Amino acid sequence: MSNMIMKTPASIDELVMCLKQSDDNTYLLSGGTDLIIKLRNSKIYEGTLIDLTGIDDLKQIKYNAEYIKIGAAATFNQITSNTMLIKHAKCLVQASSQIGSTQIRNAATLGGNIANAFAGADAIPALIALDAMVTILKSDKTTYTKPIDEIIKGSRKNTLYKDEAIIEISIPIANDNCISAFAKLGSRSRVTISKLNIAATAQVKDGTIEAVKIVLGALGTKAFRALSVEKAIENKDISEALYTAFENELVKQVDEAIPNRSSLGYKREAIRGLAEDVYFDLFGSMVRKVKCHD
Amino acid sequence: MTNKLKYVGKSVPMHDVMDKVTGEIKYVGDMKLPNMLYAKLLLSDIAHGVIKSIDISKAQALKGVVKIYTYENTPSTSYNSHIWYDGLKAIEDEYLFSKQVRFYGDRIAAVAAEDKETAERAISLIKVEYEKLPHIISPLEAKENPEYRITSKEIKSGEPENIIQTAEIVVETALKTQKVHHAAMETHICLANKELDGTVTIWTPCQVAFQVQLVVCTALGLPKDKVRAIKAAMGGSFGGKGQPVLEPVCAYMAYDLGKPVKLYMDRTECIIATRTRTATIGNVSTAVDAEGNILARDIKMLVDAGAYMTNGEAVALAMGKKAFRLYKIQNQRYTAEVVYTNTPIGGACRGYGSPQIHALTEINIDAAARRLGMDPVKLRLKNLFQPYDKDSIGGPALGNARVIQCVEKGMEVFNWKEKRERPKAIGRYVRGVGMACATHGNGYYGAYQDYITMSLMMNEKGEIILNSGIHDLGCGTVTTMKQIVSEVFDIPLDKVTAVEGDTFKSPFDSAGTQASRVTFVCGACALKAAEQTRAKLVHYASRILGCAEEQVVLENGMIYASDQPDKKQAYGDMVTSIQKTLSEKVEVSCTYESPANPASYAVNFVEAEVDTMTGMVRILEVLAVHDIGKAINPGFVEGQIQGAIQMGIGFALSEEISVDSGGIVKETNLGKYHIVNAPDMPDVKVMLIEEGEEHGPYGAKSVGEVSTVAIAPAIINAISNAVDIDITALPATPERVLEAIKRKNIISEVRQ
Ligand SMILES: Cc1cc2nc3c(=O)[nH]c(=O)nc-3n(C[C@H](O)[C@H](O)[C@H](O)COP(=O)(O)OP(=O)(O)OC[C@H]3O[C@@H](n4cnc5c(N)ncnc54)[C@H](O)[C@@H]3O)c2cc1C
Repeated sequence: MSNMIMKTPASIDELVMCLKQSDDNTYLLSGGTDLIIKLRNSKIYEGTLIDLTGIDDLKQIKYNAEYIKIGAAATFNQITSNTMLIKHAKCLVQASSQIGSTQIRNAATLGGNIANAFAGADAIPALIALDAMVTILKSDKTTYTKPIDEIIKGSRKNTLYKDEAIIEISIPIANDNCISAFAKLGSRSRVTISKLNIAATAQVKDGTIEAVKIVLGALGTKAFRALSVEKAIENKDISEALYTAFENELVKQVDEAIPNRSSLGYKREAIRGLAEDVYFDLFGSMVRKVKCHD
Repeated sequence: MTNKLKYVGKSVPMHDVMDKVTGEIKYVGDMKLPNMLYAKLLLSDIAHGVIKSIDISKAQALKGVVKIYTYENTPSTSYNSHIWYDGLKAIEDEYLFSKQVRFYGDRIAAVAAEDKETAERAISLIKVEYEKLPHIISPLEAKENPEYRITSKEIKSGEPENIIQTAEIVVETALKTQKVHHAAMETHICLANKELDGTVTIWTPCQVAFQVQLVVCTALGLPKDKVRAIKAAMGGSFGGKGQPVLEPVCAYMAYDLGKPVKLYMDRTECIIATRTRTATIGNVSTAVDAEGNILARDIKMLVDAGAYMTNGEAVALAMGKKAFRLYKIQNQRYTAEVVYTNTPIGGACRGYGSPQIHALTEINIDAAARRLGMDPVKLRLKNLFQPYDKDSIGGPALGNARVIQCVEKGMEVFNWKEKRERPKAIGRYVRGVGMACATHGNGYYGAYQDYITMSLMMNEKGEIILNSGIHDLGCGTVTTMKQIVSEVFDIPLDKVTAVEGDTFKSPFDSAGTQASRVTFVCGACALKAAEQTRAKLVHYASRILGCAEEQVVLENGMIYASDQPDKKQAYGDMVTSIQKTLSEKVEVSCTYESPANPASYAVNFVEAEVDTMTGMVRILEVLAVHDIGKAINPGFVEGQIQGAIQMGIGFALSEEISVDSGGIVKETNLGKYHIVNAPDMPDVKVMLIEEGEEHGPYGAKSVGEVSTVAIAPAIINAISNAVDIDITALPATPERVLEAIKRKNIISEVRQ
């Protein structure tokens, strides 16, 4: 990579300057855990790298009354140790803690995970389930904000232009009744790319699921909300029977998502394992409580 | 001598451990010679065909490209990279570069350039047109095609066919084993230079320097005195660097250009285009009586050599012989058919066929036990060899075979009975226990020539230099040799230097670091050389000291006559006196030919947990019990076993190189090729049975290969024990496990 020019902006203003000069051979560099591999595999030897990790603002995790705001260059190890996120965005913390290895999590960033738009990415389903909004900086120094789902096209494509950068991810702080969970399945327990992943958020009141979002990843080209699964359990009382409905509906979702893939046979079965993980992580204590009342 | 050992039996650290942990060690990847060029290979992206045309014009035009090599401008002498000594015959079907493409990954071209980037770029600018030919990826299909059939083998004792035909209980097992990548941290690399006198010097992390020399000479048509192979620092091999892959090509470029050339591979190239564990399709029928005595056994192996012959035939034979060295089976037949396929090349891989055949037969033993309703340990104990039993086909004596002791001790420590009889959990996670036994050899005695020459010299400072063609692969060979020599002379390890293989400087070694021969054969030679040198020192010292030889005492670096204990002198001073007064050197060169090839044994006990919803298997605990004779360095032995278990778990559960219907390799990086990593490693307990082996130095025998043999069948047996399923193909991936569980559930529903 001898012909790569490295730019190291130290502020948003400097980043804007860099973005202004962006061309087709300009690449934003965060942790580099996807990008470097991509450059090598595509034999890209020339161009400009804009390193985002020198911009302090992009590495902060802040919050106000309504949002937790994660800088795009915050690493997964920062995310997993953030108390606000642990409290209000458990599924994102769970997903982050299962990304790669400690070394990867020390480098890999949330912004990179989103921009890379890989179907099996772990943070994306969690962010969709949490209604995360993504703020993007343009080279004219203006910004715009969109729901995460709209940024990701799928199959490693996002909607960003060459002169744009993700700078912040905002997660709305929901009320205390909101719970969430994440589970993944790979080829081994750690440092593994998801064959399936699932993120869920729910509002529960008095043993009833009032609102729920279920997001599935690694099925097809991009993570998606499993609406029929949500419908099957929304406004229902938590119970073991409901779990069965949840599980069966998930299997159907898998069938619909990848009808012609050779991996279908396995995934439609194995999703039951993830269903159990997530359902009991979300409602476990309540299932038991309900049972006690019986 | 063995009752009070001072250096042998101690866990001292590896000689180069500081260099490794500080990053100071110079691997070939770190080496740089003046004017060195970098070289890269172009590998075929089809599985079978003929090259119609190669257009190198664009690549050639790139600034910094020095020369491009293809079959058109290189020697077309055929060779077989497996041939490690002159006179060994095997089909020679390899070439520096191919015109005929035989698999996805075949060598089409190489570029030598002034820097890495240019070499890599130039490769992507070479345009190749192929005429595609139909490819065969299935060994079963290959078997039916005369062009793909290579050879068949049979080993037999007694009349197994008749017994199996008439026996009441015959248990059959089928198992497919996969191609596996060695996954050494260091990918393949080689550096070669042409010296002023025309000699080509090759630095390579290799297992057999003399084999590198021989294969390069054959491929390049050079005399042996013009090819010098030097064993470089090794970043892991496991058999993967046993056969020269890059060396002939790299040496040719250096020879042709008269400049140093470094040829290197990345992980993808290393996975697809070096060597793999030979894949097999095995079937076994075992006749047992109701008491669990094995009456007869018939083993059939279909051996997939891959695209080139290499050691296909040797590995087929080697694995077959193992079947006759574990259980007393009077009537047994082993037949193997060896075929080509248009898939990655088979080669040496830790265990050399043992893991494949033991996986088949040890799963079968458990199946037999299940059929009889018998504890599989009990069935094994009835049939295992006793110490000094005879190999049933007249092979080398088994020696002090302590496999029964391993099983009995292991059972107790593992708490086998209790764990085995524990009721199975009902629910998602189900645990089971399994075990398996395995055997492997100690060198080549009985099959091929097996000897080594070493020279040992004590200098005027009392330091020792052991010169021989050994190769430390990271297993501790150098330190092991030093420990043996230190013990003989009673001097600390830092006074002993053991250098590694260099075909211009090392005395000849017939086989290098392979066949689990290093401690047993090379270690025995080091012992012999040390003892002979010691005798020489004693002899001369007696003359200097004016006493009888029996009166000469060597103690902690000091030498004296027993009746004059106050007149001690350092070894070095004595050597100086000997040189001065007697004009003699304390030096010996000796050749040691191995007189034996006893069996090493391993017994593994495993507890596994199956997630019945996802098919994921977690290994909770492993106990590895080894009949090792004597551990020269118990720390190294444990290290070997821990690593071997890790490799074996991968073989059992997750590692596989496979190809799609077009013959294209699917697992092209470590994101797709799943090695067991630290979080998934169980607690591995190691237990050594040290009962001594007659011809091993201080009683030692091999451990490096046998340690990876029993683990896969032990795991599969544990899975069967947990969820009562048959695994018929390795690795037992979550997909396969879940499918087997589903199949079983359907069957049991039908039955209900
Ligand atoms: C060993 C290993 C294990 C892994 N395990 C997992 C895993 O378990 N789960 C998982 O989801 N992923 C995994 N990954 C993938 C990777 O680590 C993640 O996708 C990570 O989040 C990428 O972030 P990064 O900061 O390294 O991105 P980079 O590699 O720096 O960038 C990735 C892409 O995003 C672009 N980009 C980066 N930052 C921005 C930005 N702020 N705005 C716009 N575009 C941007 C880059 O130009 C590039 O195209 C693994 C990778 C490796 C090497």
